[in-house]
Amino acid sequence: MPGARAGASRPLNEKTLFYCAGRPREHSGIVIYYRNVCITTVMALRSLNLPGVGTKYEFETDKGDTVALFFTKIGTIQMYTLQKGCRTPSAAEMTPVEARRLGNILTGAIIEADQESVEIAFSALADLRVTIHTYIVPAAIAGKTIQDLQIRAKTGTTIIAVSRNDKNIINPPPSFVFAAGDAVLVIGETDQLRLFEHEIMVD
Amino acid sequence: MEGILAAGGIILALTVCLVLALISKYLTIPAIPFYIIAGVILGKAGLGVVVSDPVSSFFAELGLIFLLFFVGLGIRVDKIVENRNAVLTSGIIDLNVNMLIGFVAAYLLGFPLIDALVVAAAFYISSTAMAVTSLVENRKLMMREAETVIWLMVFEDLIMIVILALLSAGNENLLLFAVKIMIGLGVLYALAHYGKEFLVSILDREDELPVLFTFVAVLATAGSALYFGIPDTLMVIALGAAIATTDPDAFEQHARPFKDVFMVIFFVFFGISITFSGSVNIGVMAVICILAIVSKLVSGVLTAIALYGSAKSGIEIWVNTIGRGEFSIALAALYGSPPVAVTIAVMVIVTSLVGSFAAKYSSDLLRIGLSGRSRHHGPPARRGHAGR
Repeated sequence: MPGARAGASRPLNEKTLFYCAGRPREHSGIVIYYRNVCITTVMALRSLNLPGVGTKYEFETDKGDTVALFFTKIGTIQMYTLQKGCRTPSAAEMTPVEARRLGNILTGAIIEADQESVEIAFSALADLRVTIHTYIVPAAIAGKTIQDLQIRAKTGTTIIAVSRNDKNIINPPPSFVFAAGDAVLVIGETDQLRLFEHEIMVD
Repeated sequence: MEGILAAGGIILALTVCLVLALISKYLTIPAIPFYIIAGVILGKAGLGVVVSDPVSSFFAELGLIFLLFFVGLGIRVDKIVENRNAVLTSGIIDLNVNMLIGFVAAYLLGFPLIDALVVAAAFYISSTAMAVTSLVENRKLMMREAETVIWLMVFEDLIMIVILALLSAGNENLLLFAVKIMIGLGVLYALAHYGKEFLVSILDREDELPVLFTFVAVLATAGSALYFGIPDTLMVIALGAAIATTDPDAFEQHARPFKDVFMVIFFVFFGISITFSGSVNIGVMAVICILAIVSKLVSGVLTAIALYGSAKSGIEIWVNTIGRGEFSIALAALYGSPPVAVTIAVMVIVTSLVGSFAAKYSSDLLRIGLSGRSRHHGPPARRGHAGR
């Protein structure tokens, strides 16, 4: 592990503790970085390339249950769980989007059901951190433009996308007019986003 | 634009296939038997509304070539060597049992020697596409038998190459033939090895070049193979295997549209070319079909006993390998006399449908079989543990 990465690591937060709660033991050498903290996985993860089918990942939990994942060539993801002592696994087939959803839930990336936030850290760029957050536009600012609200001047954040009626507008212009119920994707630092939430979203 | 009208038969056949494919996907059963049945109905044996012409034969050949190219892309020699134990045990049992039963049956039923060999080869080769689809759709990937089935298919693909080489050698000077093939293989591997960076740079482009390149590479290989008098089928598989060492996923992605369309044309026109007049009697076909189903049961059970010491696992291997499909049809189209072609077509239709239903209901099948036997032999729980 590079020294810089170790030096930049933050104190463990709740989510990280969750991952470290298991007792470390001999494993196949998989290392996961979560918020720059090196977390050694506690389970032995096996991966296997099956010709014509796709890639298989399988691991056994501490309690003896087995979880297997298959990324099939046709693009679907199948997840099997086999309870200890059982003979037939149960399976669920997911689209890539559904699988990513599941992954988000498992890694704790989703803060609230309708408001999601992702923090990205670039350790190569002096530990640069940016957060992308979604908000739902309230009726109070409906009909105003990005320019009217002076979002960048007031908060330093930038609206990078708006989702309206299942249609996405990427990089909306300053003249963009908000409507109530728009989902906006805002990028900035955590403090700037807090400012955005308090200054703009309740205006 | 009159060319389009001249190809009206192809358009009609493909439209029928499209409708049938929708139905087969809805019922989650393999589409290949439907394409063949569509061809039989439209063609010589049925209504006679579509006849094959040079255009359709060209497209059908493209379908076969792209199918074989895909087989080649799936052959990763390094992976096979890594897993040689898993591949060899099951593969050799499967090969011996099914080839033997298929050949003896076909010969005794009155096929001439060479025809019996073609029938035996088609009888032996299960459909890789059907096996994989069956494992994925019936959510069986986690079972240990699934891995066995997958490696079995890889082994069968390898044997397919040997069979193609043997059957196409025919009456030629064997030594010269072998030397030509070796030179062909050498050229392909050298191109893939030394041209790797160039290949990858072409595949990475966003424009039309990757698709065009893939199409030309496959056709040029087939064309030059024929020009030099070596079987194009073999060289196209070799091309796939050679460029599988660069970026097989990209090639698969670019070749898929060609394969998907032309292969359907291949299957439907194979059906169209079938004639029932003066061919094999129904009894012979029925025997071949029943044996085709039973012999995979025998090889499946033997494999399961050899690998896991459990005959019951053999049922899972069996249900996923019953279906014969694309390779059997390819062999029939390339080397089959009319009676052989009919026999193989019927075998493919019957085994693929039986296989698809057996795979769907295999767990019920096992449960009924187990409770039926346990009444005589003891409590099911103990049998269950013994089976693990």
